[in-house]
Amino acid sequence: MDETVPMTCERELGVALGRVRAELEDVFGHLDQVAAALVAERTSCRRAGEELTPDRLARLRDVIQSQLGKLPAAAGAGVVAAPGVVAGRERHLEWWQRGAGGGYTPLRLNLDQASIDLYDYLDMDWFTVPRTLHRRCVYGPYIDFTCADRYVLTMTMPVVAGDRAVAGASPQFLGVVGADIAMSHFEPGLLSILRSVPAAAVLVTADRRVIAANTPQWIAGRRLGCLPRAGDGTFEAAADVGADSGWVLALAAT
Amino acid sequence: MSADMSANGSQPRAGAASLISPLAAAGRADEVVQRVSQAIQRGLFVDGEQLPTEVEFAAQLGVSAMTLREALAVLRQLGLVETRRGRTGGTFVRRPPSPPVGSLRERLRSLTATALRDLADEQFAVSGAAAKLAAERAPAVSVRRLLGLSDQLEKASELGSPGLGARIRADSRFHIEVAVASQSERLTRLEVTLQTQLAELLWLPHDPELDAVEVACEHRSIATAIAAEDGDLARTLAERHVEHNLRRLTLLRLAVVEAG
Repeated sequence: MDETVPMTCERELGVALGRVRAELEDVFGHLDQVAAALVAERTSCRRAGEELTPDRLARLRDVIQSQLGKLPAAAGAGVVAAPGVVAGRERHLEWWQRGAGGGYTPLRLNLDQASIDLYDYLDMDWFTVPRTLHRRCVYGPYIDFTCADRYVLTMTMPVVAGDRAVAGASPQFLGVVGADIAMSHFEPGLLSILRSVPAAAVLVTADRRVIAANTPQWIAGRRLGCLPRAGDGTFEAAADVGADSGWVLALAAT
Repeated sequence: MSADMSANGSQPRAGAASLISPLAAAGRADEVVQRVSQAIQRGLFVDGEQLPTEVEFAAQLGVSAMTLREALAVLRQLGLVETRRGRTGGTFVRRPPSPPVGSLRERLRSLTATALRDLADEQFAVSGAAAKLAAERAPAVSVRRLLGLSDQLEKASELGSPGLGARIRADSRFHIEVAVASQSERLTRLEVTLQTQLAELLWLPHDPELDAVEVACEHRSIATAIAAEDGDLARTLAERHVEHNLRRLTLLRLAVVEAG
C-alpha cells in the first residue's frame, strides 16, 4: 500500500493542469477586453437612442487588432453578432485576421441567407454553446477550411448586455467574441508544459482527441479508445483542465 | 560510367537543374491557385465579383506579381475567373448557380483518358486515406454534416436540371468534409483541388443522366462507416466510390467525344 507514488502523480498533475488552464484563460482574458468594448459600444448607442449599426460595430476594430497584437497564436479574432443585434443585419461579424504582410485583413464570409454557400454560424457549436449554455467554448482543434484555413482552436465567449435603461428587461445575448488560435503556435506552449511532467502525459479533448502528448505513444489529432480515467489500467491520474474546455489531462501509469 | 562521372566532375548538370528550378516557382503559384479556388469553392466570392487589382492581390497573398499572374492563368483555364479588358476591366470570379455546360463539355473532351485516370489515381490515394483517417478521428459534428450532405445530394436530384449546381456542391462538399474530418490540412488541400477539377465534370448532363440517388447512397455508406469508426471499411468504400466515378466519367467522356 504505497501511496506516495500516486500522491506525487496527483501533485504533478495539479501543477500541469494549472498551467494549461492558464494558457486558455490568457486567451479568454484578451477576449474579455473585446467583450467589454462591445457592451460599451452598444450601451452608448442605447443612450443616444441609436441603433447598433455595422459602422458602430466597426469601431471595435482597434480593440480587436490590439488584442490580436498581444496574442501571437491567434490567426484571427472578433465579434460574431446574434440575429437582430446589428441593425439591418440578420447575420453580421466584425472579425480581423492576421495578414501575410504583418497587418490585419477583415474576414470575408458569405452571410447571404439566399445563397447555397451561406456560412451559417448560427448552427456552429462555437456559437450555439455560448448562446444556449451561457458559457465559454473551446472548439476543436479542427481544420478551419472556411476561415483560417488551418488547424485551429476556436475559443468563444458569450456577450450579454443587461438593459438598465429599460426597467424589467432581461439581459440580451449580443453574440460571441472569439479568436481562432493556430495550433502551430499554441501547441509548443502546451508541449513544454507536458514535457515538465515526469510521466507520460497526454492532453485530450472531451471527444477523446489528442491535443498534445509528451510521448509518441499518442499522436496529435488521433482519438483515444475511451476518455482517460484515473486507475483505468492505462492512466495513473486524470483530471479536467477546466476553463470551459472539456479537456482532460492524464498521466500514464509507469 | 565511372569515366563519365569523373569527366562531369562538379560541372552543373543541366538536366537535373531543369527539374528543380521551375518547381519552386510553380509551387508558389499552385498554392495561390489552391487558396483562391478554395475560397471560390467555399462561396466566399460571389459570381461576378471583382478580384482586387493584381498589385493589391499579390501583396495580400504575399506573392510576387509574376506568381499571381501565373496563378490567374491557371484559374482562367479552370473557368473560375475571367479577365475583361478595357475601362470596366479586371479579373472577375465566375461562379454561376449552374456551371456553363458547353465549356465543361469542352474541358472533358480535351482531357485524355489517361489524364482522367491519373486524376482518379490521385483521388484514390487522397479520398481513400482521408476516409480511413476520418473514421479514426472524425468528431460527431463532422459525421452529422456528412450525413446531411448525403441527404442534400439526394434532394438536389429531385430538382431536375436547375439543381445541377446544388448537386455539384453537395457532392464536392461531401468529399472535402471527409478530408476535413481526417484532421489533415494537406489532405484537405489536395481534396479541394481535386474537387475543383472533377466535381463539375462528373455532373455534366447527358443521357442517361448520372443517378444522384445512387451517388448519394455511396456517400451515405462512406459516412456510415466513418460514424462506426470502421477505418478499413470507410477506405474500401471510398476507393470503390472513386472507381465508380472514374467509370462514370469515362462513359461520359466517350459520349461527349462521340457527340463531336
